[in-house]
Amino acid sequence: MIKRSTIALVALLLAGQAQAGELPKGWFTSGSAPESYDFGVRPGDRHPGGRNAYIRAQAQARGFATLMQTVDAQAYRGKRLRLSGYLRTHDVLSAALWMRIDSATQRGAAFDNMGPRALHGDTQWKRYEIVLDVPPNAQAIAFGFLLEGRGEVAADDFRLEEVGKDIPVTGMAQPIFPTAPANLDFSQ
Amino acid sequence: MNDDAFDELVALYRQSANETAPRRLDARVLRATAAHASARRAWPWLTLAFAASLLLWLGTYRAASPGVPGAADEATRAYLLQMDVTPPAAGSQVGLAAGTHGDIYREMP
Repeated sequence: MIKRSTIALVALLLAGQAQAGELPKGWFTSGSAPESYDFGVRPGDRHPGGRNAYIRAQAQARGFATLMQTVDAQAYRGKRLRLSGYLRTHDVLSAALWMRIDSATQRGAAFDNMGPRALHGDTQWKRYEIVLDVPPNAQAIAFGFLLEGRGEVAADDFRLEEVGKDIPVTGMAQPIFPTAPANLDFSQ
Repeated sequence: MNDDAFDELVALYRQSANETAPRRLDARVLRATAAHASARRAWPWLTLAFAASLLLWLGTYRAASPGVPGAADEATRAYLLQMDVTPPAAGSQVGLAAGTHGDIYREMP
């Protein structure tokens, strides 16, 4: 009787661990309510033998959650950087790629979370991308994919790479300031 | 001839000329008029009650639902722009300003 109970307890613990899921190496979770979401990796269907990462909303999930990385910006300073990746969604309120570049003096010196291009509802595997200019004083580049509200998003084959200036940037543009003050005496 | 007699004479004349409506018809017209008047008085209250229930329902739905694209997008954007992006493993290190994320980057598959 005791043996059976022990086996059942071990099975329950193992099942619980499998449910919690494992995070992909090098990635961590964040967001306004990551506790409302499940994260993990599982065998994928884009490539034979490949694996996908996923974020799945629990019942009554609130806020949003993201699976992300942050890297040193030193190697990318002054360059144009493209984050691309494949996403697939099921019944999501909103899902997207995002990238934020912090400078020494400003969080979000460059930023894009796909805004109006975000995914809603059901979508099949498709490649999405974000292109941002890395300021010369950039310190850190954070990027990832996020899920908001409900449903599930799966991700595969992310790339972070330098691209030419001929590739247009997406998201928030750098503000352009005048090089000199003007009309200080209000004469015009 | 006094008024009462005159009235009676006119009534008799109308009755003979089939000008007077039967009493039953008069009663029905009166009831219909009264019902119409009370319905008109009730309409504003009904409209108000409907609008109040609609507002209550919308408020409850919004509070219960996880969010609607649009307003939620703005909140997410604001959060992403302000949140701490330091990896948990680097929390005890010098931090973002010192650029100590080489180790994290090398962990990428």
